[in-house]
Amino acid sequence: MSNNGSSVLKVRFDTSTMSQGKADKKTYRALAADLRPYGFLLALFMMFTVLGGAAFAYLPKILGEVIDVYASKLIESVFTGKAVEVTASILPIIGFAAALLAINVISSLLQGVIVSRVTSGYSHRLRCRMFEKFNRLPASYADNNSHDAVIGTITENVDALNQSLGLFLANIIDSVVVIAAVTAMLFTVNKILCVASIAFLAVSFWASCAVSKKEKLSAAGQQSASANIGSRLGEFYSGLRTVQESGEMQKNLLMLENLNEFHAEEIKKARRISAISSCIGDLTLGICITAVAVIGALMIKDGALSIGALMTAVLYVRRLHRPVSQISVYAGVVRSMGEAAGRVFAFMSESEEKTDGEKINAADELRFENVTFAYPGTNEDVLQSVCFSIPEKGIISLSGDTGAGKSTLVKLMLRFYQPDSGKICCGDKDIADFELEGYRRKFSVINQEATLFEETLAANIAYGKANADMQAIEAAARLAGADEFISRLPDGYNTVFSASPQNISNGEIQLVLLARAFLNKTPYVIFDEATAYVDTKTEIKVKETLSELSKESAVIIIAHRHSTVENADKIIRIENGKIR
Amino acid sequence: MKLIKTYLMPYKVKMICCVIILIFQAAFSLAMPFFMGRLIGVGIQQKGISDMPPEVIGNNLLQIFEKVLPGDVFEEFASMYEIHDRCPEGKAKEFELLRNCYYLKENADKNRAKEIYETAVLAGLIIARNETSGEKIFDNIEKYADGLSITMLSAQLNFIIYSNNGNADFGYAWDAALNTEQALKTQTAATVLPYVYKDAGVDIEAVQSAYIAECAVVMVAAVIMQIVCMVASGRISADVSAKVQGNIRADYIKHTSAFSAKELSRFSAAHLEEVAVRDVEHIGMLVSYFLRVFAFAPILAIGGTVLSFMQSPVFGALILITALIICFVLVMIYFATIKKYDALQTDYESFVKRLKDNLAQLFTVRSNCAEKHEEAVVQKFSFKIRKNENFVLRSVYIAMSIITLISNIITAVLVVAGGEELLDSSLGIGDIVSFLQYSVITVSAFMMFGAVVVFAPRASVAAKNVKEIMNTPISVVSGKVIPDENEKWDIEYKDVSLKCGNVSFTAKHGEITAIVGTTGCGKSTLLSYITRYAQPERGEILIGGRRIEEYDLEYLHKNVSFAQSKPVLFSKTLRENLLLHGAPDNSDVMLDALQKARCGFIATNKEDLKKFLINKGENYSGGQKSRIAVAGAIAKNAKVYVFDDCLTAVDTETEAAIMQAVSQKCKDAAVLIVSQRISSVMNADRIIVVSDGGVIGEGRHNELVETCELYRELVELQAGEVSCNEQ
Repeated sequence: MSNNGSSVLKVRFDTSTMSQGKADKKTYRALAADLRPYGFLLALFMMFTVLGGAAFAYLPKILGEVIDVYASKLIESVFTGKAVEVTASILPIIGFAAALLAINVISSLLQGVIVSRVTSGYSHRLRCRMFEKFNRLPASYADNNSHDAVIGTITENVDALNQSLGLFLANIIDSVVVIAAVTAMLFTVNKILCVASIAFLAVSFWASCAVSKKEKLSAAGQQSASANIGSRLGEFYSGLRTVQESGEMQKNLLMLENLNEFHAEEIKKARRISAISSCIGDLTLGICITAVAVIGALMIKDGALSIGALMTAVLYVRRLHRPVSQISVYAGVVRSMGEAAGRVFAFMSESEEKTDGEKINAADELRFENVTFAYPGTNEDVLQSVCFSIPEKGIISLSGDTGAGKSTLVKLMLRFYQPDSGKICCGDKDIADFELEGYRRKFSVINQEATLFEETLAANIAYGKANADMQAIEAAARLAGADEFISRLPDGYNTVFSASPQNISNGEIQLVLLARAFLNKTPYVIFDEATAYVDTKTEIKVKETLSELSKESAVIIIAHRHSTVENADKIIRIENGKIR
Repeated sequence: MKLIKTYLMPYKVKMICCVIILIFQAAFSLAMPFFMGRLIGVGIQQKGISDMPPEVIGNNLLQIFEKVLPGDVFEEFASMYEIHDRCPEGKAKEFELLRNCYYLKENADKNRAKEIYETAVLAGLIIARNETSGEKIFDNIEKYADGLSITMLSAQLNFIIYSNNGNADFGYAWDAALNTEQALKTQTAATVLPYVYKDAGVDIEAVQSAYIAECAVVMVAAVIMQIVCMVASGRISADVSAKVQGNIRADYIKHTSAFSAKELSRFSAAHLEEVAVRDVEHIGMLVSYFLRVFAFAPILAIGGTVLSFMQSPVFGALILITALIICFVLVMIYFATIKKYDALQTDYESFVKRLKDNLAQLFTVRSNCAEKHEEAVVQKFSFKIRKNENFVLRSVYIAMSIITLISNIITAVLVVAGGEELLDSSLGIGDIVSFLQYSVITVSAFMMFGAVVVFAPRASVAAKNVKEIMNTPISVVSGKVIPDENEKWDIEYKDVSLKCGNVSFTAKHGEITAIVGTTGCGKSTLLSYITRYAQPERGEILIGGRRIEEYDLEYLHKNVSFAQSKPVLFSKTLRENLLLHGAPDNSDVMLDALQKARCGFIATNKEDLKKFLINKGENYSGGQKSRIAVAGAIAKNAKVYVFDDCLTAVDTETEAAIMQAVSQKCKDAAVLIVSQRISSVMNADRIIVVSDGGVIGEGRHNELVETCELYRELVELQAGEVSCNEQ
């Protein structure tokens, strides 16, 4: 059984920067444990594999017997001149063969059904679990790893595991069973031929292994060239306008052209080697069949073998060939399966952020007490002994130059990071002790990144609030001034946002984001340069809404250094990580 | 497929060579079973002797023939042979040791000799079977399975004649033999031949061993030749497919590099990338498969079928029908899976897209506590992948099972049908051996098309995608004009269509022209016409007095510096980023521009230019990214500078400082600014106020405050910031 189906999905992301998976015993044991939900299916699979393999192996022997019946009758008929009736004598044999065929085909059908079900199902489960895991990892994980590498960890590894698991089940296990069964049958036909063909196939196995090693090397070269041109092209297209307008298109085209040529060269090399490696199998098969035929012929001459048995032996060698070459070609499959599984499990065991804790009840004053913080992996303190408090109500202006640490303060407030020293308290409790989701739900944050998810506008407004009703959504949109443009759209609130081509302007996106913040009244509302793209008129209206909100909540408005916020109840200035 | 054809044309000669090599390859791989058939048929059954008529006969056989044949026929037969006491020159080696044998004359009519010999042998056997006198010769078949003794047969005949008083008439046997089917005669004669030679004194064992050895050598040679052809064709296919793939991609990149707003609204950047990387690669693989497998399979299949037909039309037809059934199954699977393949690809793209969004908007997701929601969305996408993948994989497995079943059935049928033919003597056992293998080879040739099932749907989707993009006409075509370097450029908008209305104004060189207006009225679009990224529906834009379409596009791009509102940075060094935003390749100029754009956070000296911006500069804030892009734009030596709302994420003071630097640097050039902030445009030489309807005010800050209501409103609303800036 050949499996190429899963190669549809190929390497997209270079995961070389991610942690290497270890293919050790523990990993395989963990993989086996992880596959336990499919235990029943896999047991069925093994049963069908053994059944199918046995039936597959028995068939040639029957054919040999039939040939022998005819061959002996032939001599009889030549010398006696009588018509010989054989149909009766072979009918039972043929019936038996038909039964075996049926068993074989049914088993292989079911094998296929099970393998595709297990591999696609397991991959689906892994994808979901890994994504859930990602959501439980601290924010610093996404900072410390390139985005492509994180996506690669989830997509590539699962694909690799999917493919190698499929190959392992459908090819390797199947091949091992077939080899065992066929060798046993061949042994019953003739011992000498059996030994001879095994010797030849062993040579074939060895040769294929040697070549596939070389093939792997060149494939690695090709893959890195692929990843290289892939990432370059990705940037080229996402920044196409920029490249065009730089006036340096020719230079960039030349660079891409060179990369492309290099890639083509690598591919040529890899394909040449794979062409040679695919010959090795045919070479050894041809020689093996010749050898078996000649040895068999000499044995027939001496009366030690029948013609039918020789034909059986030849058919057996043909049947052995594919599994043997498959095992050698896929010798690396088990290892790559282990490696992929190792990477998956390594990802699954990354340490998670703390989410449990005491339930937060009422919002209280937020206090930063001597907070010092540097982003993980850097030595530069972004915040140095910061002390300030945010009252329960009112408008608080948080200003400072770009890079002064305003956004960092927000991230600490929302517990994306932990302070290196000092603590942040809500009332008299450290915020780190609260249950995370409940704590975060006390906040509404709008930041300067003007982008939405590719969902309907209604869903974007109700983002993160599963049970918001349509009326509340529309009310929030009205409050943010987004209602006007949304109702002008042909699909209204059901318009699906699209990022490329962008169907909603940046200013409009920010209105939607405002509506999102206004949907639920939360004790803390944070505005991080959230109205940059909005025109001034709308901005005024938003500010009115904010002062309305500030009667019940703490509204934190983040602005640049010298921008002043009207009616601010409290102004906090931050410069170079220190409060002024 | 037309697309692939065009790219294959330059390699016609190589491909023809490849096909010729493949024909040889097929011939050699079919030679193998042919020789194996000979090995069994001649080498085993006929003990390695295939001469017909016999080259040499012994005295005993001639005596039998004398009695069996009618007189004139015997005379004719005997005249074709002559007796030698030693082996004459020019005869085969195995006859060297023979003494007193009859040798076939060089000039004898071999066909006639064969005819007489075959009939005579059969007649002899008929007599032996029929004569009841004494012991029945063939009573016990077991005796003869090991061998037939011509000497004994001869003695038996003598005994029969003797017991009939010397005048037995065997004419009936001759007549019966004449009327027997030719096939049976040939088969019988061939079976008896080794005994004839043995009778003449030939060492059959040695002959047989020599013949087997000869077959072995020929078979190994055929295998080696087949491999040589395979390596050669594999090499050609690797070379051609890599070249074709490279050429397609090169042209694709060239074509898409000219895409502007119109084309990009049809194809997303992600799609363009995906097609350039994956789909082009798939086409390359298709070509390589085509030359190695798809071209080879039909040649092999036709060869196998023709060879089978030549030996037995019935068997040939059987193999052909099987092959057609397999083709049918494959085609069915192809059509069943192609749509799912397409869907699988799309599902996968959306899945990855959502993951990317999640990473890029990690803050939004988590601060909204939307993890559960995202998990549900991702699970939905993943489940779709699972469903389609399961379907596709299962189809492939089912196809493979069916094909295995069919090929097993055909083998069984061939064995039984072949056995029957064997008994009719129309086929030898060697033929059956060959047939069985022809059928295996032919069926496996068709199975090679099985790869199509896996491969073709994906490749055809790939070709379709590439073609769709390559056939998209380029909406922005370069003009030819490359004007004098010293020319100064004014930009004139003449009745250029806006959302609802027309816009006309001029931005003069040496002046700063600012455009302000309400959100979404199309200010950015107006600016994007200058680099021809987009084209106005109506109206025209003149630069330096010429229509913008007349300019050489690259010249235009080199002389317009454009800072976009959402800057794009690349995962490259700072230096390369600046180059991609138009800066000249000069460290001093770059550093100067960086300083002017207030990029002290990233670079203060030349070493800093080597800094690498990981993840396309994602770790920098929006304002920081803008300033890097603006630095590139300032550094550029251009006749027109355009700043499209690019400093919104920067604080007002920094923006003012940057604009100050711009007005100094760009003294001779035309500068266009779009901004939300009055503070950043109030010092412009000319301010254009636009709303949905068109231009509603034009002039300096002081004039507009007086004359334009919308402008005055804006100024009042932003009063705080303006005054702060004026200090």
